[in-house]
Amino acid sequence: MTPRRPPSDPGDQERPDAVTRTRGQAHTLEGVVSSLILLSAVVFALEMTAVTPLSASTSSQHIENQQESTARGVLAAAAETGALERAVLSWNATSEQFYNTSDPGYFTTDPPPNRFGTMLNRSFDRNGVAYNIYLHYRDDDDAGPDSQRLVYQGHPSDNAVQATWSLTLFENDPLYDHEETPTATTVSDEPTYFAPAASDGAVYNVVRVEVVVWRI
Amino acid sequence: MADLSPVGGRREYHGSRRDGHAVGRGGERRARPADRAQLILVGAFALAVVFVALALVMNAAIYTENLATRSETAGAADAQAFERTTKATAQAAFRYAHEINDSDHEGLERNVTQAIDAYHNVSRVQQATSGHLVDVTVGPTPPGTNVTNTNVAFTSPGGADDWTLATGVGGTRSFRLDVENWAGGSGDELWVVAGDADDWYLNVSYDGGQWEVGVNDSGTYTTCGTTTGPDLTVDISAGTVDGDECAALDLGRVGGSHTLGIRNGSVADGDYTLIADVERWAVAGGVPTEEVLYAMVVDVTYRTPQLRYRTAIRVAPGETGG
Repeated sequence: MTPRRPPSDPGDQERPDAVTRTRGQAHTLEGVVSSLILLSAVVFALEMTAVTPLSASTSSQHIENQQESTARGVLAAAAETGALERAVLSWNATSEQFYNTSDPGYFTTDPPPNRFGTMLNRSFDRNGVAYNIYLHYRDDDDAGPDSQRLVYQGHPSDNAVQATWSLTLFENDPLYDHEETPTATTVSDEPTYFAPAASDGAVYNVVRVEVVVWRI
Repeated sequence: MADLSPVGGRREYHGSRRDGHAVGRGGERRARPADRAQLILVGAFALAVVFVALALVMNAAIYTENLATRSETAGAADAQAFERTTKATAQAAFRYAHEINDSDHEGLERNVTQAIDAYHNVSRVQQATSGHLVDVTVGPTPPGTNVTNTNVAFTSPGGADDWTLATGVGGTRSFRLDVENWAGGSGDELWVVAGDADDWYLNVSYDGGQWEVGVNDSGTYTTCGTTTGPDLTVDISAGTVDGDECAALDLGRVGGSHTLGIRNGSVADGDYTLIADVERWAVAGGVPTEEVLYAMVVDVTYRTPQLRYRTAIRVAPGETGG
Protein backbone atom coordinates (compact mmCIF):
# COMPACT_ATOMS: atom_id res chain seq x y z
CA MET A 1 0.00 0.00 0.00
CA THR A 2 1.41 3.28 -1.04
CA PRO A 3 1.53 5.80 1.73
CA ARG A 4 -0.78 8.64 1.16
CA ARG A 5 1.41 11.62 1.01
CA PRO A 6 0.24 15.16 1.28
CA PRO A 7 0.28 17.31 -1.87
CA SER A 8 3.78 18.30 -2.79
CA ASP A 9 3.76 21.77 -1.51
CA PRO A 10 7.06 23.17 -0.26
CA GLY A 11 5.20 25.13 2.37
CA ASP A 12 3.67 21.95 3.84
CA GLN A 13 7.00 20.43 4.78
CA GLU A 14 7.46 23.05 7.34
CA ARG A 15 4.32 22.02 9.14
CA PRO A 16 4.62 19.61 12.17
CA ASP A 17 1.46 17.78 11.04
CA ALA A 18 3.39 16.39 8.11
CA VAL A 19 5.88 14.59 10.37
CA THR A 20 3.07 12.91 12.29
CA ARG A 21 1.28 11.88 9.17
CA THR A 22 4.28 10.22 7.49
CA ARG A 23 5.18 8.16 10.56
CA GLY A 24 1.66 6.99 11.25
CA GLN A 25 2.11 3.65 9.52
CA ALA A 26 5.23 2.83 11.46
CA HIS A 27 3.37 3.63 14.64
CA THR A 28 0.54 1.38 13.66
CA LEU A 29 2.93 -1.45 12.94
CA GLU A 30 4.69 -0.93 16.23
CA GLY A 31 1.34 -0.96 17.99
CA VAL A 32 0.38 -4.20 16.30
CA VAL A 33 3.71 -5.83 17.13
CA SER A 34 3.59 -4.72 20.73
CA SER A 35 0.04 -6.01 21.08
CA LEU A 36 1.19 -9.33 19.66
CA ILE A 37 3.97 -9.48 22.21
CA LEU A 38 1.57 -8.63 24.98
CA LEU A 39 -0.91 -11.20 23.79
CA SER A 40 1.67 -13.94 23.48
CA ALA A 41 2.94 -13.09 26.97
CA VAL A 42 -0.60 -13.37 28.34
CA VAL A 43 -1.12 -16.67 26.50
CA PHE A 44 2.15 -17.99 27.88
CA ALA A 45 1.21 -16.89 31.35
CA LEU A 46 -2.17 -18.57 31.05
CA GLU A 47 -0.50 -21.80 29.98
CA MET A 48 0.97 -22.27 33.41
CA THR A 49 -2.46 -22.13 35.04
CA ALA A 50 -3.91 -24.65 32.62
CA VAL A 51 -3.06 -27.47 35.03
CA THR A 52 -6.50 -28.71 35.95
CA PRO A 53 -7.18 -31.52 38.39
CA LEU A 54 -7.81 -33.81 35.43
CA SER A 55 -4.66 -33.10 33.47
CA ALA A 56 -1.93 -35.68 33.89
CA SER A 57 0.49 -33.29 35.41
CA THR A 58 2.51 -32.60 38.46
CA SER A 59 -0.27 -30.95 40.45
CA SER A 60 -2.37 -34.13 40.55
CA GLN A 61 0.45 -36.01 42.23
CA HIS A 62 -1.20 -35.68 45.65
CA ILE A 63 -4.35 -37.37 44.47
CA GLU A 64 -2.45 -40.06 42.64
CA ASN A 65 -0.45 -40.80 45.78
CA GLN A 66 -3.65 -41.00 47.75
CA GLN A 67 -5.33 -43.34 45.29
CA GLU A 68 -2.30 -45.58 45.04
CA SER A 69 -2.14 -45.88 48.83
CA THR A 70 -5.86 -46.57 49.00
CA ALA A 71 -5.58 -49.30 46.37
CA ARG A 72 -2.64 -50.86 48.15
CA GLY A 73 -4.47 -50.68 51.47
CA VAL A 74 -7.61 -52.27 50.09
CA LEU A 75 -5.56 -55.12 48.63
CA ALA A 76 -3.59 -55.65 51.83
CA ALA A 77 -6.71 -55.61 53.99
CA ALA A 78 -8.60 -57.94 51.65
CA ALA A 79 -5.65 -60.33 51.55
CA GLU A 80 -5.39 -60.28 55.35
CA THR A 81 -9.03 -61.15 55.92
CA GLY A 82 -9.12 -63.71 53.11
CA ALA A 83 -11.69 -61.69 51.16
CA LEU A 84 -9.35 -61.39 48.20
CA GLU A 85 -8.82 -65.12 48.00
CA ARG A 86 -12.55 -65.80 48.24
CA ALA A 87 -13.22 -63.30 45.45
CA VAL A 88 -10.59 -64.84 43.18
CA LEU A 89 -11.82 -68.38 43.91
CA SER A 90 -15.52 -67.54 43.48
CA TRP A 91 -15.74 -69.57 40.29
CA ASN A 92 -18.89 -70.84 38.64
CA ALA A 93 -17.98 -74.10 36.95
CA THR A 94 -21.22 -74.24 34.98
CA SER A 95 -20.87 -70.92 33.21
CA GLU A 96 -17.07 -71.07 33.41
CA GLN A 97 -16.80 -67.56 34.78
CA PHE A 98 -16.92 -65.76 38.11
CA TYR A 99 -20.16 -65.92 40.03
CA ASN A 100 -22.68 -63.10 39.45
CA THR A 101 -20.93 -61.84 36.36
CA SER A 102 -22.74 -61.01 33.15
CA ASP A 103 -21.83 -62.06 29.64
CA PRO A 104 -18.22 -60.96 29.24
CA GLY A 105 -17.26 -62.97 32.32
CA TYR A 106 -16.14 -60.03 34.43
CA PHE A 107 -17.72 -57.18 36.33
CA THR A 108 -18.16 -53.96 34.39
CA THR A 109 -20.28 -51.43 36.26
CA ASP A 110 -20.78 -52.76 39.76
CA PRO A 111 -18.20 -54.26 42.09
CA PRO A 112 -18.34 -58.01 42.79
CA PRO A 113 -21.16 -58.78 45.27
CA ASN A 114 -18.84 -60.08 47.96
CA ARG A 115 -16.69 -58.77 50.80
CA PHE A 116 -13.89 -57.66 48.48
CA GLY A 117 -16.46 -55.88 46.32
CA THR A 118 -17.83 -54.08 49.37
CA MET A 119 -14.35 -52.84 50.18
CA LEU A 120 -13.88 -51.65 46.60
CA ASN A 121 -17.26 -49.97 46.67
CA ARG A 122 -16.48 -48.08 49.87
CA SER A 123 -13.03 -47.03 48.71
CA PHE A 124 -13.60 -46.18 45.06
CA ASP A 125 -17.14 -46.43 43.70
CA ARG A 126 -18.61 -44.06 46.26
CA ASN A 127 -15.94 -41.48 45.51
CA GLY A 128 -16.44 -41.55 41.78
CA VAL A 129 -13.22 -43.35 41.12
CA ALA A 130 -13.03 -45.97 38.40
CA TYR A 131 -10.90 -49.09 38.59
CA ASN A 132 -9.94 -52.18 36.68
CA ILE A 133 -8.80 -55.38 38.34
CA TYR A 134 -6.67 -57.81 36.41
CA LEU A 135 -5.57 -61.23 37.61
CA HIS A 136 -2.18 -62.21 36.25
CA TYR A 137 -1.20 -65.83 36.49
CA ARG A 138 1.16 -68.29 34.93
CA ASP A 139 -0.41 -70.03 31.99
CA ASP A 140 1.30 -73.38 32.45
CA ASP A 141 4.76 -74.76 32.93
CA ASP A 142 6.20 -73.43 29.68
CA ALA A 143 4.15 -70.44 28.73
CA GLY A 144 4.63 -67.01 30.18
CA PRO A 145 2.20 -64.89 32.18
CA ASP A 146 -1.41 -64.49 31.15
CA SER A 147 -4.17 -62.41 32.62
CA GLN A 148 -7.89 -62.45 33.33
CA ARG A 149 -10.14 -59.49 34.02
CA LEU A 150 -12.09 -59.48 37.26
CA VAL A 151 -13.43 -55.93 36.96
CA TYR A 152 -13.18 -53.81 33.83
CA GLN A 153 -14.68 -50.33 33.84
CA GLY A 154 -12.99 -48.96 30.76
CA HIS A 155 -9.71 -47.70 29.44
CA PRO A 156 -7.72 -45.97 32.18
CA SER A 157 -6.85 -42.31 31.78
CA ASP A 158 -3.32 -40.92 31.64
CA ASN A 159 -3.21 -40.29 35.38
CA ALA A 160 -4.17 -43.79 36.45
CA VAL A 161 -2.20 -45.48 39.20
CA GLN A 162 -1.82 -49.15 40.00
CA ALA A 163 -1.15 -51.37 42.96
CA THR A 164 -0.53 -55.10 43.00
CA TRP A 165 -0.77 -57.93 45.48
CA SER A 166 0.19 -61.55 44.93
CA LEU A 167 -1.93 -64.42 46.10
CA THR A 168 -0.62 -67.97 46.26
CA LEU A 169 -3.21 -70.64 45.55
CA PHE A 170 -2.58 -74.11 46.93
CA GLU A 171 -3.87 -77.19 45.22
CA ASN A 172 -6.23 -78.00 48.09
CA ASP A 173 -7.78 -74.53 48.29
CA PRO A 174 -11.54 -74.84 47.88
CA LEU A 175 -13.56 -72.91 45.33
CA TYR A 176 -16.25 -70.65 46.79
CA ASP A 177 -19.87 -70.30 45.79
CA HIS A 178 -21.76 -67.05 45.23
CA GLU A 179 -22.30 -66.66 48.97
CA GLU A 180 -18.60 -66.98 49.75
CA THR A 181 -19.08 -70.44 51.24
CA PRO A 182 -16.37 -72.97 50.44
CA THR A 183 -17.49 -75.79 48.18
CA ALA A 184 -16.26 -79.38 48.14
CA THR A 185 -14.39 -78.75 44.89
CA THR A 186 -10.76 -77.80 45.18
CA VAL A 187 -9.14 -75.49 42.69
CA SER A 188 -7.00 -78.30 41.27
CA ASP A 189 -10.11 -80.42 40.65
CA GLU A 190 -11.82 -77.77 38.55
CA PRO A 191 -10.60 -77.88 34.93
CA THR A 192 -12.60 -74.82 33.90
CA TYR A 193 -10.87 -72.51 36.38
CA PHE A 194 -9.18 -69.66 34.53
CA ALA A 195 -5.68 -70.38 35.85
CA PRO A 196 -4.15 -73.79 35.17
CA ALA A 197 -1.80 -75.56 37.54
CA ALA A 198 1.63 -73.97 37.37
CA SER A 199 3.32 -76.86 39.17
CA ASP A 200 2.47 -80.40 40.13
CA GLY A 201 3.26 -79.80 43.79
CA ALA A 202 1.51 -77.99 46.60
CA VAL A 203 1.49 -74.56 44.96
CA TYR A 204 -1.24 -74.46 42.32
CA ASN A 205 -0.53 -71.01 40.90
CA VAL A 206 0.34 -67.50 41.99
CA VAL A 207 -2.25 -64.90 41.06
CA ARG A 208 -1.00 -61.35 40.94
CA VAL A 209 -3.95 -59.06 41.54
CA GLU A 210 -3.47 -55.70 39.86
CA VAL A 211 -5.77 -52.79 40.62
CA VAL A 212 -5.66 -49.81 38.25
CA VAL A 213 -7.37 -46.72 39.64
CA TRP A 214 -8.22 -43.41 38.01
CA ARG A 215 -10.62 -40.53 38.38
CA ILE A 216 -13.54 -40.44 35.98
CA MET B 1 12.66 12.23 27.59
CA ALA B 2 9.34 10.93 26.35
CA ASP B 3 6.43 13.19 26.13
CA LEU B 4 3.82 11.94 28.52
CA SER B 5 1.11 14.33 27.62
CA PRO B 6 -2.20 12.75 26.53
CA VAL B 7 -2.53 11.95 22.84
CA GLY B 8 -4.04 14.86 21.03
CA GLY B 9 -3.71 16.99 24.13
CA ARG B 10 -2.46 20.47 23.89
CA ARG B 11 -0.24 22.47 26.05
CA GLU B 12 1.63 25.67 26.02
CA TYR B 13 5.15 25.43 24.71
CA HIS B 14 7.74 28.09 25.06
CA GLY B 15 11.12 28.30 23.45
CA SER B 16 12.63 26.35 20.56
CA ARG B 17 13.13 22.62 20.05
CA ARG B 18 16.42 20.82 19.70
CA ASP B 19 15.54 19.20 16.44
CA GLY B 20 15.21 22.59 14.90
CA HIS B 21 11.63 22.28 13.77
CA ALA B 22 9.97 25.56 13.77
CA VAL B 23 7.33 26.00 16.33
CA GLY B 24 4.81 28.64 16.13
CA ARG B 25 5.56 31.35 18.58
CA GLY B 26 3.30 31.06 21.54
CA GLY B 27 1.41 28.41 19.53
CA GLU B 28 0.32 24.79 20.26
CA ARG B 29 1.79 21.57 18.92
CA ARG B 30 0.43 18.04 18.50
CA ALA B 31 1.62 15.23 20.85
CA ARG B 32 4.37 12.95 19.52
CA PRO B 33 3.06 9.39 19.18
CA ALA B 34 6.49 8.15 18.01
CA ASP B 35 7.82 8.52 21.54
CA ARG B 36 4.75 6.77 22.98
CA ALA B 37 5.10 3.73 20.74
CA GLN B 38 8.59 3.16 22.04
CA LEU B 39 7.25 3.34 25.53
CA ILE B 40 4.57 0.79 24.77
CA LEU B 41 7.18 -1.48 23.22
CA VAL B 42 9.45 -1.27 26.21
CA GLY B 43 6.51 -1.78 28.52
CA ALA B 44 5.43 -4.84 26.58
CA PHE B 45 8.89 -6.32 26.80
CA ALA B 46 9.04 -5.67 30.48
CA LEU B 47 5.65 -7.31 30.98
CA ALA B 48 6.68 -10.30 28.90
CA VAL B 49 9.80 -10.75 30.95
CA VAL B 50 7.76 -10.49 34.15
CA PHE B 51 5.34 -13.13 32.91
CA VAL B 52 8.15 -15.44 31.90
CA ALA B 53 9.73 -15.02 35.32
CA LEU B 54 6.39 -15.70 36.99
CA ALA B 55 5.92 -18.81 34.93
CA LEU B 56 9.37 -20.02 35.89
CA VAL B 57 8.72 -19.42 39.58
CA MET B 58 5.38 -21.19 39.39
CA ASN B 59 6.84 -24.13 37.55
CA ALA B 60 9.69 -24.43 40.00
CA ALA B 61 7.22 -24.39 42.87
CA ILE B 62 5.06 -27.08 41.28
CA TYR B 63 8.07 -29.20 40.45
CA THR B 64 9.41 -28.91 43.99
CA GLU B 65 6.05 -29.84 45.43
CA ASN B 66 5.82 -32.73 43.04
CA LEU B 67 9.17 -34.07 44.14
CA ALA B 68 8.41 -33.49 47.78
CA THR B 69 5.05 -35.23 47.73
CA ARG B 70 6.08 -38.34 45.86
CA SER B 71 5.28 -41.02 48.38
CA GLU B 72 8.49 -42.89 47.81
CA THR B 73 10.66 -43.28 44.78
CA ALA B 74 12.56 -46.38 45.81
CA GLY B 75 9.51 -48.65 45.88
CA ALA B 76 9.99 -49.96 49.40
CA ALA B 77 6.23 -50.46 49.72
CA ASP B 78 6.32 -52.96 46.86
CA ALA B 79 9.16 -54.79 48.55
CA GLN B 80 7.16 -55.02 51.76
CA ALA B 81 4.09 -56.20 49.88
CA PHE B 82 6.20 -58.95 48.36
CA GLU B 83 7.56 -59.85 51.76
CA ARG B 84 4.05 -60.12 53.19
CA THR B 85 2.92 -62.26 50.28
CA THR B 86 5.92 -64.52 50.70
CA LYS B 87 5.28 -64.78 54.42
CA ALA B 88 1.67 -65.79 53.84
CA THR B 89 2.81 -68.33 51.26
CA ALA B 90 5.49 -69.74 53.56
CA GLN B 91 2.99 -70.12 56.40
CA ALA B 92 0.51 -71.82 54.09
CA ALA B 93 3.21 -74.11 52.66
CA PHE B 94 4.31 -75.02 56.20
CA ARG B 95 0.75 -75.77 57.22
CA TYR B 96 0.08 -77.69 53.99
CA ALA B 97 3.14 -79.87 54.43
CA HIS B 98 2.07 -80.88 57.94
CA GLU B 99 -1.56 -81.47 56.96
CA ILE B 100 -0.96 -83.40 53.78
CA ASN B 101 2.46 -84.91 54.07
CA ASP B 102 2.43 -86.95 57.22
CA SER B 103 5.99 -88.16 56.99
CA ASP B 104 9.41 -87.61 58.52
CA HIS B 105 11.60 -84.53 58.71
CA GLU B 106 13.12 -85.12 55.26
CA GLY B 107 9.73 -85.53 53.61
CA LEU B 108 8.38 -82.38 55.24
CA GLU B 109 11.47 -80.44 54.30
CA ARG B 110 11.20 -81.63 50.70
CA ASN B 111 7.55 -80.66 50.63
CA VAL B 112 8.04 -77.08 51.85
CA THR B 113 11.08 -76.61 49.61
CA GLN B 114 9.13 -77.73 46.55
CA ALA B 115 6.27 -75.39 47.41
CA ILE B 116 8.55 -72.40 47.92
CA ASP B 117 10.44 -73.21 44.70
CA ALA B 118 7.19 -73.35 42.75
CA TYR B 119 6.12 -70.04 44.28
CA HIS B 120 9.49 -68.54 43.38
CA ASN B 121 9.30 -69.81 39.80
CA VAL B 122 5.98 -68.12 39.15
CA SER B 123 6.48 -64.93 41.12
CA ARG B 124 9.93 -64.16 39.74
CA VAL B 125 8.48 -63.96 36.23
CA GLN B 126 5.60 -61.82 37.44
CA GLN B 127 7.91 -59.49 39.34
CA ALA B 128 10.32 -59.30 36.41
CA THR B 129 7.59 -57.76 34.26
CA SER B 130 7.65 -54.80 36.68
CA GLY B 131 11.42 -54.62 36.69
CA HIS B 132 11.90 -56.31 40.05
CA LEU B 133 14.28 -59.17 40.64
CA VAL B 134 13.28 -61.54 43.40
CA ASP B 135 14.86 -64.56 44.96
CA VAL B 136 13.14 -66.81 47.47
CA THR B 137 14.98 -69.75 48.99
CA VAL B 138 14.34 -72.02 51.93
CA GLY B 139 16.94 -71.67 54.64
CA PRO B 140 17.26 -73.82 57.77
CA THR B 141 14.34 -76.08 58.69
CA PRO B 142 15.17 -77.30 62.20
CA PRO B 143 13.43 -80.57 63.06
CA GLY B 144 10.93 -80.75 65.86
CA THR B 145 8.71 -83.23 67.65
CA ASN B 146 5.04 -82.87 68.31
CA VAL B 147 4.10 -84.28 71.72
CA THR B 148 0.37 -84.65 72.18
CA ASN B 149 -1.05 -86.75 74.96
CA THR B 150 -4.75 -86.44 75.70
CA ASN B 151 -6.97 -87.66 78.53
CA VAL B 152 -4.17 -89.05 80.62
CA ALA B 153 -2.75 -88.50 84.05
CA PHE B 154 0.20 -86.13 84.17
CA THR B 155 2.39 -88.96 85.33
CA SER B 156 4.99 -90.56 83.12
CA PRO B 157 3.84 -93.47 80.89
CA GLY B 158 5.46 -95.67 83.49
CA GLY B 159 3.46 -94.05 86.29
CA ALA B 160 6.20 -91.93 87.90
CA ASP B 161 5.06 -88.76 89.68
CA ASP B 162 8.17 -86.74 88.92
CA TRP B 163 9.55 -87.30 85.46
CA THR B 164 11.33 -85.67 82.54
CA LEU B 165 9.25 -85.18 79.42
CA ALA B 166 12.04 -84.06 77.10
CA THR B 167 15.71 -83.21 77.27
CA GLY B 168 17.81 -80.69 75.37
CA VAL B 169 14.84 -78.42 74.67
CA GLY B 170 15.82 -75.04 73.22
CA GLY B 171 12.38 -73.83 72.25
CA THR B 172 8.74 -74.83 72.36
CA ARG B 173 5.66 -73.75 70.52
CA SER B 174 1.96 -74.46 70.87
CA PHE B 175 2.64 -75.55 74.46
CA ARG B 176 -0.72 -76.04 76.16
CA LEU B 177 -2.02 -77.83 79.24
CA ASP B 178 -5.63 -78.77 79.86
CA VAL B 179 -6.04 -79.75 83.49
CA GLU B 180 -9.14 -81.45 84.84
CA ASN B 181 -10.23 -84.09 87.37
CA TRP B 182 -8.12 -82.84 90.23
CA ALA B 183 -7.28 -85.87 92.39
CA GLY B 184 -5.00 -84.19 94.92
CA GLY B 185 -5.83 -82.15 97.96
CA SER B 186 -6.02 -78.39 98.23
CA GLY B 187 -2.39 -78.28 99.31
CA ASP B 188 -1.09 -80.28 96.35
CA GLU B 189 0.61 -78.64 93.43
CA LEU B 190 1.17 -79.75 89.86
CA TRP B 191 4.44 -78.42 88.47
CA VAL B 192 5.76 -78.08 84.97
CA VAL B 193 9.48 -77.49 85.34
CA ALA B 194 11.81 -76.02 82.74
CA GLY B 195 15.43 -76.79 83.60
CA ASP B 196 15.75 -76.83 87.36
CA ALA B 197 12.96 -75.88 89.72
CA ASP B 198 15.10 -72.89 90.67
CA ASP B 199 15.01 -71.67 87.05
CA TRP B 200 11.36 -71.82 86.06
CA TYR B 201 8.28 -73.74 86.99
CA LEU B 202 4.58 -73.46 86.45
CA ASN B 203 2.45 -74.22 89.47
CA VAL B 204 -1.20 -75.32 89.26
CA SER B 205 -3.28 -75.92 92.35
CA TYR B 206 -6.97 -76.43 93.05
CA ASP B 207 -8.80 -76.00 96.31
CA GLY B 208 -12.02 -77.66 95.22
CA GLY B 209 -13.58 -74.50 93.78
CA GLN B 210 -10.81 -72.34 92.42
CA TRP B 211 -7.84 -72.95 90.18
CA GLU B 212 -4.70 -71.03 90.93
CA VAL B 213 -1.84 -70.68 88.51
CA GLY B 214 1.53 -69.20 89.38
CA VAL B 215 4.98 -69.00 87.85
CA ASN B 216 8.29 -69.11 89.64
CA ASP B 217 10.90 -67.48 87.45
CA SER B 218 14.39 -67.61 89.04
CA GLY B 219 13.01 -67.21 92.55
CA THR B 220 10.38 -64.61 91.71
CA TYR B 221 6.91 -66.02 92.16
CA THR B 222 4.08 -64.45 90.19
CA THR B 223 0.46 -65.46 90.56
CA CYS B 224 -1.44 -65.43 87.29
CA GLY B 225 -4.78 -65.22 89.00
CA THR B 226 -7.53 -67.59 89.92
CA THR B 227 -10.33 -69.06 87.88
CA THR B 228 -13.28 -71.26 88.61
CA GLY B 229 -14.72 -74.01 86.51
CA PRO B 230 -14.40 -77.74 86.05
CA ASP B 231 -11.17 -77.52 84.11
CA LEU B 232 -8.31 -75.18 83.37
CA THR B 233 -6.47 -74.36 80.17
CA VAL B 234 -2.99 -72.95 80.43
CA ASP B 235 -1.50 -71.88 77.09
CA ILE B 236 2.16 -71.38 77.92
CA SER B 237 3.20 -70.30 74.41
CA ALA B 238 0.40 -67.76 74.09
CA GLY B 239 0.84 -66.69 77.72
CA THR B 240 -2.80 -67.11 78.75
CA VAL B 241 -4.71 -68.85 81.54
CA ASP B 242 -8.26 -69.67 80.40
CA GLY B 243 -7.86 -66.92 77.83
CA ASP B 244 -6.66 -64.27 80.28
CA GLU B 245 -3.21 -62.93 79.69
CA CYS B 246 -0.37 -63.71 82.10
CA ALA B 247 3.00 -62.31 81.10
CA ALA B 248 4.91 -64.48 83.57
CA LEU B 249 4.16 -67.59 81.52
CA ASP B 250 6.92 -66.68 79.06
CA LEU B 251 9.04 -69.81 78.76
CA GLY B 252 11.37 -68.09 76.30
CA ARG B 253 13.15 -66.41 79.19
CA VAL B 254 14.59 -69.66 80.42
CA GLY B 255 17.04 -69.69 77.52
CA GLY B 256 19.60 -72.25 76.53
CA SER B 257 19.09 -75.96 76.28
CA HIS B 258 17.09 -77.30 79.18
CA THR B 259 14.95 -80.22 80.24
CA LEU B 260 11.20 -80.15 80.50
CA GLY B 261 9.62 -82.11 83.32
CA ILE B 262 6.48 -82.62 85.35
CA ARG B 263 6.26 -83.05 89.11
CA ASN B 264 3.39 -84.42 91.17
CA GLY B 265 1.84 -85.67 87.96
CA SER B 266 -0.64 -87.88 89.75
CA VAL B 267 -2.69 -85.03 91.23
CA ALA B 268 -4.68 -84.44 88.05
CA ASP B 269 -5.24 -85.61 84.53
CA GLY B 270 -5.97 -83.90 81.25
CA ASP B 271 -4.07 -83.10 78.04
CA TYR B 272 -0.64 -81.77 77.34
CA THR B 273 0.53 -80.81 73.89
CA LEU B 274 3.64 -79.08 72.68
CA ILE B 275 6.05 -78.92 69.78
CA ALA B 276 9.67 -78.92 70.91
CA ASP B 277 12.78 -78.35 68.81
CA VAL B 278 14.16 -81.81 69.61
CA GLU B 279 14.38 -85.11 67.81
CA ARG B 280 12.00 -87.86 68.72
CA TRP B 281 14.50 -89.75 70.85
CA ALA B 282 14.84 -86.83 73.24
CA VAL B 283 11.24 -87.28 74.39
CA ALA B 284 10.41 -89.74 77.15
CA GLY B 285 9.55 -93.19 75.86
CA GLY B 286 5.89 -94.14 75.65
CA VAL B 287 4.68 -90.59 75.05
CA PRO B 288 2.95 -90.22 71.66
CA THR B 289 5.15 -88.20 69.35
CA GLU B 290 5.17 -87.13 65.73
CA GLU B 291 7.99 -85.77 63.60
CA VAL B 292 7.40 -82.20 62.48
CA LEU B 293 9.44 -79.22 61.43
CA TYR B 294 9.98 -76.95 64.38
CA ALA B 295 10.43 -73.87 62.19
CA MET B 296 11.28 -72.78 58.69
CA VAL B 297 13.35 -69.83 57.54
CA VAL B 298 12.78 -68.37 54.09
CA ASP B 299 15.33 -65.94 52.70
CA VAL B 300 13.87 -63.23 50.49
CA THR B 301 15.82 -60.89 48.22
CA TYR B 302 14.06 -58.14 46.33
CA ARG B 303 15.95 -55.91 43.95
CA THR B 304 15.05 -52.92 41.84
CA PRO B 305 17.42 -50.42 40.24
CA GLN B 306 17.02 -48.22 43.34
CA LEU B 307 16.58 -50.77 46.06
CA ARG B 308 18.10 -53.92 47.44
CA TYR B 309 15.91 -55.49 50.08
CA ARG B 310 16.85 -58.63 51.97
CA THR B 311 15.00 -60.28 54.77
CA ALA B 312 14.54 -63.65 56.41
CA ILE B 313 11.05 -64.86 57.19
CA ARG B 314 10.74 -67.28 60.08
CA VAL B 315 7.71 -69.52 60.26
CA ALA B 316 7.02 -71.20 63.61
CA PRO B 317 3.27 -71.24 64.27
CA GLY B 318 2.30 -70.95 67.89
CA GLU B 319 5.68 -69.80 69.11
CA THR B 320 5.76 -67.24 71.90
CA GLY B 321 5.89 -63.81 70.31
CA GLY B 322 5.54 -65.35 66.87
